[in-house]
Amino acid sequence: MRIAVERLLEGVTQTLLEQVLPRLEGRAARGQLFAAVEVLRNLERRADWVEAPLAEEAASAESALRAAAERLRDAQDAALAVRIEARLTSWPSAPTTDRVRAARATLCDAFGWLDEAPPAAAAAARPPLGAHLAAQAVRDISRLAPGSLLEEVSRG
Amino acid sequence: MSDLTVRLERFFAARFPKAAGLRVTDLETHTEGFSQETFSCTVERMLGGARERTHWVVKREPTAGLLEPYDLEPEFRVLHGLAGVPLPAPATPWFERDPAVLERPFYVMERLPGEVPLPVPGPDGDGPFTASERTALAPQVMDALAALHAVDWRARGFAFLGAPTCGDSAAREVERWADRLDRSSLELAPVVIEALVWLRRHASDDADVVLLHGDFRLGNWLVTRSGETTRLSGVLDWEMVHLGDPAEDVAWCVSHLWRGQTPRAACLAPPAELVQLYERASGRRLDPDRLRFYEVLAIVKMLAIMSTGVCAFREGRTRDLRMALFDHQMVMLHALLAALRGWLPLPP
Repeated sequence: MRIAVERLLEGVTQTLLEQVLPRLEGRAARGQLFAAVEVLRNLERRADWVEAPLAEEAASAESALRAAAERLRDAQDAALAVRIEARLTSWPSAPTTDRVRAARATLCDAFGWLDEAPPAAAAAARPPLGAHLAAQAVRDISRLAPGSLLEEVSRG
Repeated sequence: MSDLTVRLERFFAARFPKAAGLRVTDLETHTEGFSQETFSCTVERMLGGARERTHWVVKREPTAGLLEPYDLEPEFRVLHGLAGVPLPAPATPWFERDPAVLERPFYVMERLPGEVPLPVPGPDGDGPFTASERTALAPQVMDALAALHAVDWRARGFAFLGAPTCGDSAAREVERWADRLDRSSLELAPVVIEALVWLRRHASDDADVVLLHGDFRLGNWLVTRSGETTRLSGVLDWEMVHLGDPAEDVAWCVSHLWRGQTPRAACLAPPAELVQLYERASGRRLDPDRLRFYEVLAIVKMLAIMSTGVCAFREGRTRDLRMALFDHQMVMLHALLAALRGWLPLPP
């Protein structure tokens, strides 16, 4: 292989936009082309996605859940704090994909448990979890190619 | 002549038995939609010695799509039953279930004039409308929505859509879309689960049950522009029609989803102004908390629709790359959901 993958993807994208797009008249065909370009532009970043970002997500979820447990203890709901902490200890340390899956599942369950908890304790524990959701949404977006063509795709 | 043209000629000839020399022309397949298959055509026939041309749209059940499983009959019955109501809805005379005709069920409606502006930034980054078009259109769309909500659905025989009982419109919608998310078999992000828990907790009773379009938004409106006049000439895509809380349609219409990177709901007016226009037209006050509830539900609903598309692509039931792209777009919706739940600042 003489051409690096990133250059290959960049080249395909350029060709599609410069050589193919100007010759396409149908709205549906243009929609398909923009979609293909967007997929290609994100492919390399998706390949990068494998380890580090997942580990980062799991670590962020863990610290949010620990902070929530601490707040529950302060709010006199030690039972729920223990329940969350017990789940944390059951997470597999590897592979990262399994660990992040366990982190997401624990978060999902925690939101359900908090919904059943005394309102004051739940209100105290939610903010660190919400902060994690916010941070994760921002991290996920940052992994998409900037200057998205998504709006072009919606033209059909 | 294509097989589809031949089949359609046979279909229309049976509907116009007295017409001579019937021909189907200008047949076009419209694949820009994400859901039902749409064809448009012209029917030419001799009538009283003159050649008459009428324009039609055929909506056919797709093999895979965002709102599967499909049943076109409810929306047909509503569109058919709305005849005579002062709404820019297309006259829809025929529904056909017999697979011998077009392989899958379809219905036929008149083609309305106009074009479909989309919620995307124009060259100046200001959405698809000029200032004067916005001023003209904003009250028209909210008048149309109020007129739809004023339809006496019981008298028109629309109870078959399933009226919510005991004021459970909100809870029923949450479960409808949660179920769709489950069926997509994609792993749900924690931000979606958090929103579902919140929605279930805050689904409150309601008194008002009206006929809802279900997808009333920029992108499903036909607009005609003629000189200084801008007119809402059609409301399309009725596949999510159901009975429920009027705030659901309003929240969907003003959602961040259709702002085209402008600060205006539906690229038309500030959200509060559009809501006010609706309130004035309908004589109904909308509780801001209720609207917020349905704005959160709107994002969940969109995520459920996208999940269905991603799933169809993953399983090889569609080759439409736009479905694959939803995988990226869902990330944006997760952020919007986090913002509507108060975990992130809301975009303007």
